[in-house]
Amino acid sequence: MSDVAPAGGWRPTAALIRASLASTLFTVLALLTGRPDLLVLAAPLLVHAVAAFVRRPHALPLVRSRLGTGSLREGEGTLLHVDLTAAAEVEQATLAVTLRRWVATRPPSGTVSGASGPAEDSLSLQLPLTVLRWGRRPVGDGLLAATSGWAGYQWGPLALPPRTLTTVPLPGPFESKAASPHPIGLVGAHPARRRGDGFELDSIRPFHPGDRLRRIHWRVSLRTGTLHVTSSLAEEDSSVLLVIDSGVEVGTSGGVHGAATSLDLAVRAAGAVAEHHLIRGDRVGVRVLGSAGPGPLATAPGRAHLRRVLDLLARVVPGRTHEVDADRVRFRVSPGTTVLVFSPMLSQESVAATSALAARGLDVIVVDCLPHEPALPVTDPCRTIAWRMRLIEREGLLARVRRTGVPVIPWRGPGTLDDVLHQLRRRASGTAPVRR
Amino acid sequence: MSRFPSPADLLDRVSLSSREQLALRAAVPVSTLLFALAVRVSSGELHPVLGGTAVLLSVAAASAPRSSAALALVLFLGATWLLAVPDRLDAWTLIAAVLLAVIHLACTLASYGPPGLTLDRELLRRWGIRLAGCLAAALAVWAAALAVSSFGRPASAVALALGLVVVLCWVAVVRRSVAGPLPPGRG
Repeated sequence: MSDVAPAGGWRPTAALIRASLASTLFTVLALLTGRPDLLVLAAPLLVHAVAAFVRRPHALPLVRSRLGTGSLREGEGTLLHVDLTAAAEVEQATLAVTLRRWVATRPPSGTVSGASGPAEDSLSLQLPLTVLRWGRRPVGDGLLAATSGWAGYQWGPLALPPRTLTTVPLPGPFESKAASPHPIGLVGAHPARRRGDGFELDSIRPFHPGDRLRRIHWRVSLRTGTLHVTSSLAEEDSSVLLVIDSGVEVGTSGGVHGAATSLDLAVRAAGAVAEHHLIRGDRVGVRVLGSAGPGPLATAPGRAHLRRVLDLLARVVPGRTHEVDADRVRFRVSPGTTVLVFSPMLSQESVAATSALAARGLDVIVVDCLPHEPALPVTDPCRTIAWRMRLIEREGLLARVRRTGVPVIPWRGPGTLDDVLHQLRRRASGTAPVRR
Repeated sequence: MSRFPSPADLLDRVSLSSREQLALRAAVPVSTLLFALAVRVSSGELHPVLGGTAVLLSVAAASAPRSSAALALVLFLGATWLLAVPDRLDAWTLIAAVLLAVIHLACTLASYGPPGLTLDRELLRRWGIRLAGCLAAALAVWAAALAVSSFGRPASAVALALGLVVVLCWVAVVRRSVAGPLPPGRG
């Protein structure tokens, strides 16, 4: 919320100048030529001019503009409030905001008007806004003008400053029933490899001193003649690092309801995975590769952390502002962390970073975020051929990634990670090889 | 007053206009045509050049209601009435006054904001009452002029002088209110 400094003063409108000049001229001509019919023509204009002069304003209104909320999700709407106070002499105010991509207004022209009542000292204008794509962008800048009674005098137009609105990605539908391959915490929802007080059955074994009586398995005890108890696996949380490759963005975004770019897919998929794991009690961290945008977010649990993760994802900016040296990138991940790399895998840097993470012995999964049919603004045949060559190069990069033992899977929403996580868990427990 | 829009701006404005603004802007040339028709019927003739000029001015005023074109249109229509129509106080005079007031009001409402603007209903209701008041004033002047002319008295130099003095006072008020210093602001 902020006050806008008043600028300028009240000026006569074109309507007042027209009414006063035309009525004066018609009256003079009527008197000089003795034509009373000209007085009849002048009468309505004269009434307008006199009424406008009588309601001549003297005080300047104060303006305050604010957004209903500073943060929302893709496709959600908010209100831009513009309040005029000390506006007893203002009869009507018009707000016209600057139209921006990904920001829809109602009405689509972005122009609203409001009239004040006879005894009201303030006037409030509200413009509904809907943001169609994640990101941080300025909204609400535009022009505001006020008019006095009988449209006699106008104040403004006054330039309104922009407000920054953070739009967090709308996480796509995601659900995973697979347990983490390396649960490493104290409490959580993933069955650990050690025994403890969990719900997952581990074995039925003979009773030892110290076992709890409620764990006695009476059916086996009666059959065998000795006391047996059930033992269960402990339940632990896991640590997940989400790496988002924002160096390359492929496709043309159509917003939350339209086509998705590779970065749209990556950000929304990362948001979905983060939401899933944080609600289950896991720890999630985020690292953005490729741009000098938001810094890394350390792994942490909790729903409050989800807010931080989504806020960081909203600040992801496509593009590479500096060369990323994969050997010098410090990921600061603890052992046992599962690393999910969301990338279209179109650059050497992302491949190098993925290989470096895998070389540290971490469970790394690449989630391929290249859309199946990206909406490319390609009309030139040469560019089409160049894009095909790029895709062939990409196949080579993906083969390199797979050779380092990192599975690559396309993002398809719920269940995307299940198979791979099952395989990684079996590999961790030494029961089955991982197919790559 | 603002400049005329470029052709590209004009097309943008038309495409972004709300229905209300389109109706207000369409009222200007339509009322101008009806005014020309009233002059033609009232006087028996209207030179095509005068009619064509009026229509051109009305189109300019409709596309840029804040510009000087609207003032030029009102003055041109008044001059056309003065030159083409003989001195008479019949119903056509009232019709011409109504049409001139409609042109002025349409330009006033259209100049409240950009073409995409839809005005508040309360404001439109207020302006409907105001238009009725303005037209009532025209009717009162018409009735008074009719009553005075029915006496058949010759023109009086004293009345003319008094009228000119009143007009001079009015010009002084207009000069002070329109071209005078801006009212003091309040931070």
